[in-house]
Amino acid sequence: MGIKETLKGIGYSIGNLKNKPATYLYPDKPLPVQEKSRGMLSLDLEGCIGCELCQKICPADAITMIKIDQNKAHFKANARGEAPAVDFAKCIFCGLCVDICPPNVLHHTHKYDISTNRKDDLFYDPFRLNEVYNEEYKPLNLKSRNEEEKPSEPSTEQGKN
Amino acid sequence: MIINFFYTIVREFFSVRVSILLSVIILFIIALILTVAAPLILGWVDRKFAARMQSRYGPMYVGKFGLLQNVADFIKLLGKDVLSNAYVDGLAFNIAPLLSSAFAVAMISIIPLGSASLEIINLPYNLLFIYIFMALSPLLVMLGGWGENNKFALLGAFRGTAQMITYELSVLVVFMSIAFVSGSFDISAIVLSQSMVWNAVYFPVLFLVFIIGSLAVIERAPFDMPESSQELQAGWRIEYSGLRYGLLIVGDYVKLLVISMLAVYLFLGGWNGPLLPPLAWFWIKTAIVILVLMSFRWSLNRPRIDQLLDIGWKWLLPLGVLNLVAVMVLWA
Amino acid sequence: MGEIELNIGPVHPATHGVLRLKARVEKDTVLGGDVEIGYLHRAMEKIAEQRLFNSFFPNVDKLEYVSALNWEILYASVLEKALGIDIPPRAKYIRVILAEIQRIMSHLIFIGAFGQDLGNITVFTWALRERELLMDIVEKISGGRLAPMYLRVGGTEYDLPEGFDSMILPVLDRLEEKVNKDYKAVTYENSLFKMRTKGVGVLTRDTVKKYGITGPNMRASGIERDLRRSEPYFVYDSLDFDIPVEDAGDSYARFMVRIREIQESIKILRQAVRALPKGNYINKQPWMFKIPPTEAFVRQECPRGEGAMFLVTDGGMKAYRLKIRSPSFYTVQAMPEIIKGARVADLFTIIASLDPVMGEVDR
Repeated sequence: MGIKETLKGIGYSIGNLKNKPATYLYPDKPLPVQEKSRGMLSLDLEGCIGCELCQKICPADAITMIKIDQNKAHFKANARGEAPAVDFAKCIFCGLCVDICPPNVLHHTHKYDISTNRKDDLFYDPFRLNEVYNEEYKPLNLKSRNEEEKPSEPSTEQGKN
Repeated sequence: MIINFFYTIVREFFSVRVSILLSVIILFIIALILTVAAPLILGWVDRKFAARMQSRYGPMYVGKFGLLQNVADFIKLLGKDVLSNAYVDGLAFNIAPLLSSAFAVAMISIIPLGSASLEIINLPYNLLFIYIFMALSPLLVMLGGWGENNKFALLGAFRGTAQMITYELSVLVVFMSIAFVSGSFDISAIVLSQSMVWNAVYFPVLFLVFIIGSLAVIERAPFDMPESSQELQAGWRIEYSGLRYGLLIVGDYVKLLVISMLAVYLFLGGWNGPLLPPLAWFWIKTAIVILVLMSFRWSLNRPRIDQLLDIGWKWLLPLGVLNLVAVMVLWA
Repeated sequence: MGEIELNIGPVHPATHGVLRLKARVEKDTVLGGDVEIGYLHRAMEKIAEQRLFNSFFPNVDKLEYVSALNWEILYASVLEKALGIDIPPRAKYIRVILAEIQRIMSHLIFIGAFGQDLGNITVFTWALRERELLMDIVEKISGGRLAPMYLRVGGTEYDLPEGFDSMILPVLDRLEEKVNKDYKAVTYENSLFKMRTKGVGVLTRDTVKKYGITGPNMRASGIERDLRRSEPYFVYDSLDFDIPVEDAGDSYARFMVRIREIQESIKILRQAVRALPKGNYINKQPWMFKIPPTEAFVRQECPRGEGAMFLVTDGGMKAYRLKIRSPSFYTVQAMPEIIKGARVADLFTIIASLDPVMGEVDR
C-alpha cells in the first residue's frame, strides 16, 4: 500500500531537522537590502531642471511641481523655477520617475520605514527631499545611471528609434 | 502504588477515615498537575519539532527556548471572552470539555508511570479501564456537536463519531490479543511477560494495527478529518472558545501521551532493558514513540472521511480479527 | 436531510483568493453550484485607457501577482508589435530566462497550496523556501519581489547583474534535487496523496473545448498543445524541451503535468543561460511615444494557460482599448461542471488543482 513511500516522506521530514532554518528571527538591526531596491525617493535639488517629466509619467499622480525661490535652491539651470514634491501617501515606488529623469537627479534610497503620525507629514517638498538625498543617498555610494557601462558592440538589429 | 505511600505517611497523624480522605485529595492534586503538565510539555515538543521540520524556528522568545510558550497560551485562553450563541444546550455544551479532561485525569491516575508500582491507584484491570475511558470519546463528540446548535458542527460530530467507533473496534481486538498472550489485563503483568522478547517481534501486524487505530481514535492527524483546520474550520469544535477549548486540547495531548505509553507497555517491552534503571528505559522509549507519532501529523496529508472508514472496516478490523484467531489457535 | 446550499465564501483560507462558490450539496455529494467572481475587480482595462503606455507597467505587475514578469513581457510584446520594432537577441534570451524562472515560481506555489489544502502544511513551507531562492535572484535583477518593474518597450531596463550564471545554476541544481526527491516522497508517489487525487475532478476534452481552457489543465486532459511549440516566440524554437501531457484529466494528472513542467523549465533555463549572447539589452524608445492607429494581438504561454492582450490605438499617447485575456477566467467558469458528482471534501482538491489566481480572473 505504499508504505515505503510513506516512510520515505516521513524520513525526509525528519531529515530536515538537521538543516538550519530558512527563516530569520526578528532582527535587532535592519537587514541589508538589495542594491536595486526601490525605497524612499531623494532629490539632488541643485541639478533639477524643472522639466516636469516625472510628474507626467507618474502612474499614481504622486508628484506635483512646486515653484521655488531660485536663490534658496541654488539651481544650476532651471528655467521654470520649480521642483517636484512627492506625496508618499500615493507613491507606489515603481521607479518610473527615477528612470525617466533626464539630468538623473531623482534617486531611490534604501530607506523603507517612512511612517509618520500625521498624514500631512508624508508630503515631502523639494527641500525635504534634498535633505533625504544628503542623509540617505550619498552615503550609499551607488553607481548612478550615467556611469553605467554602455554595451561595447552595437546591436545587430536595426530598430526604429 | 503511590496512594499507599502517602497513606502510610498520613496514617501516623490522623485516624483511618481522615487519612484516606487526605491521601485521595493529595493524589487528586498530583494527577491534576500531571494532566496539566502533559499538554504544556508535549505542546512545546510538538511545536518545536514541527517548526524544525518546516525549516523555521518555532517558539523562541517566551522563556528560554520558548518553553513557557504553551503556558502563556493557556493563560491567554483563560482570559478569553466566552462566546456562544444564545441557543446552545447548556448541559451538553459545557459537559463535553469537562468530561474530556476528567477522563484525562482518570487515565493518568491508573496507568503506571514508568516502573512496576509507580501508578497512582492500582487496579488489576488497568488495560480495560483505560480502554473504557478512551472509548467514551464518541459520546463526548456527540454531546459537543449536539450542544453547539450549529448544523455544520453536527455534521462534523457525525463524522467524528463514525471514525472513532470504527477504529475502536480494531484497538479492542488488539488489546484482547495482547491480554490473551500475556494472561492478564494488568499492565504490570503484561510487561513482566515481555522480559524475554518484546511483543512487537512476535506480532508486528498487531503493532501496526494498534498504531493506526489509536491515532484515529484520538483524532490526531493524519486522521483529523472531523476537525480539519484547512477545510471545515474546526468541525465539531467550532463553537468552543476560551477555557473550554483549552480543556479539549488538554484531553487531546493526554490521550496522545497515554497511547504512546500503551504502545511501549504492550509491544515494546515496557521498562525492561539491560543497563539503565527501568524508569529511564521507559521514558526513553516513550519519547521515541511520541516523536514518531508526532511526525506523522506533519509529513502526511489526510485521507478523505470515506477512505478513512474504508481503511478501518476493510483492512484493519479483518487483520486484527485474523490475528486474534491466529493467536488463540497457536497459543492454546 | 435534503439539499443544503453550502457557501464556500470569499473569505476562506482554501479558495486561493476571493472566490465564492455556492454549492448545492446532498448528503456529501455535490449536485451542482454557482461561481461568483468579481471581488477583486480593479478596473485594469479602464485604467489602461487613462495612463500613458509606459505608466501602465505597474498595473500589469499586479494582475497575476504570483508570476508578475510573464505579464510584463506580454505587455511589452504587444506594445512592440503595435510600434513595429524588434528587440535585440540578448533581450530575447533575457525574457525567456525570466519567463521560465517565474513559471517555476508559480508552480512551486501551486505545489505548496495544493499540499496545504489536503492537510500537509510542511510541503507549503518547503515550497516557499525554494521559492525564496528564486525570489532573491529576481530581486537582485530588478529590485522588487512582487512588482519587478523590469521590462520596457524594446528590451529590459537594466542588464542582468554580473555573475548571473553562477547565481542561478546552483539554485537550479538544488531545485531539481528537491523536486525529484523530497516533494516526490510526500506528494506524487505518496499513496495517501494518490488516494485523495486520483479520479477526482475529471475534466473531459469536451469541457475543455467548450470553455476554452488552456495551459496545464488542458494538457492534463490529453490535448497536446503549447504555444511555445506551435507558435514559437522569442527564442523557443532554438531550445530543446518536451511538452508534458497526461491523459486522465483528474487532479493527479494536473499535478503531474505541473511537476514535469518544472523539470522542463529547469532544462530550458540551463540551455538559455549557457547560450546568452552579449550585446545590447534594449532597443531604446522614447519614454512618451504615440502609436499610430492600429491593432495588435499577442498571445504567450503564461503559467496558467494562454494569456493574450489586444491593443487598439488611435494615434494618441494612451491606449484606446486594451483587452486582457486571462486563462484562469475560463477555468473558473468551468468549475460548476467539474464539481458535479464530487464529494464535499473533494471541492477543495478540485479548486486547488485548477490553480486559479483571482488577480487575473477579476482584473
